[in-house]
Amino acid sequence: MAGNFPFTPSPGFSIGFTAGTSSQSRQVKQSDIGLNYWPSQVRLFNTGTVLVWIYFAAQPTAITIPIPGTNTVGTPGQCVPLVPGILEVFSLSNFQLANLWISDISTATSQNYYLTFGEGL
Amino acid sequence: MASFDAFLPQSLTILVVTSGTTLTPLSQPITFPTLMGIQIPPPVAWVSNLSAGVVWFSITIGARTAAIPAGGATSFEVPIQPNQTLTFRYPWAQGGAGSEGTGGGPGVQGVAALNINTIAVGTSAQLAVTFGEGKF
Repeated sequence: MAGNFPFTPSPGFSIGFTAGTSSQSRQVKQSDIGLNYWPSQVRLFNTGTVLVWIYFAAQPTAITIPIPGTNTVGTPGQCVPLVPGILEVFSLSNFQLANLWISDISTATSQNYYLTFGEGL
Repeated sequence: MASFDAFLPQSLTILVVTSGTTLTPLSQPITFPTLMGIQIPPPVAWVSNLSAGVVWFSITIGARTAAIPAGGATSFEVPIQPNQTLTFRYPWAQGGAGSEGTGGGPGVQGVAALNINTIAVGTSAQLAVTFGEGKF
């Protein structure tokens, strides 16, 4: 379920991770967040001081930060940025939720970010 | 997936860099199948300004010279503030010279390549662009 309404946290737990300068992948199970189902959205909050790049997949994935080109697209990367201090909400596909892995990487060590699963925007 | 859902990333993410303090515009062509890891362009672009200054940008079919619409001038480009993320339907226009008002706006089908046209006041301003479905 999802829709055009404000984000509503599911009655489970938020979970926190710490990103570093090397790609890390972590599996998240329903039992980890106290639910017996998967919500359709996840709200992310980067409380660190620099960007954290994340990727949702159905398997552990080594990710790299995209490299900008000067007059080209450079080298795209398999991840999206989380700006420090900014909330982002993303949808999750059924493919990802079948076996959810979250990969992260940052340009600095010890960058904390938090995930809250729920529904809405 | 309905467009009212939160954004679902479906492509690789590119970093678009706008270089120089001389307001040098850059056009960044994207060819979807080869560069973005997908075959069919998703309907929206999720754009995040990772720099410390305002970036002006547009997403068009043809390359165009980005411009800041200062002093009563006009431009296709829109501003995005530092640390702001927004989603946009694209392309906004054909974008080629003299194409203003000729269509090619959001929802055009079969677009295999796009240009992201950027301009910024600051040095090495970066936009992250990911294509997918949904909204912010």
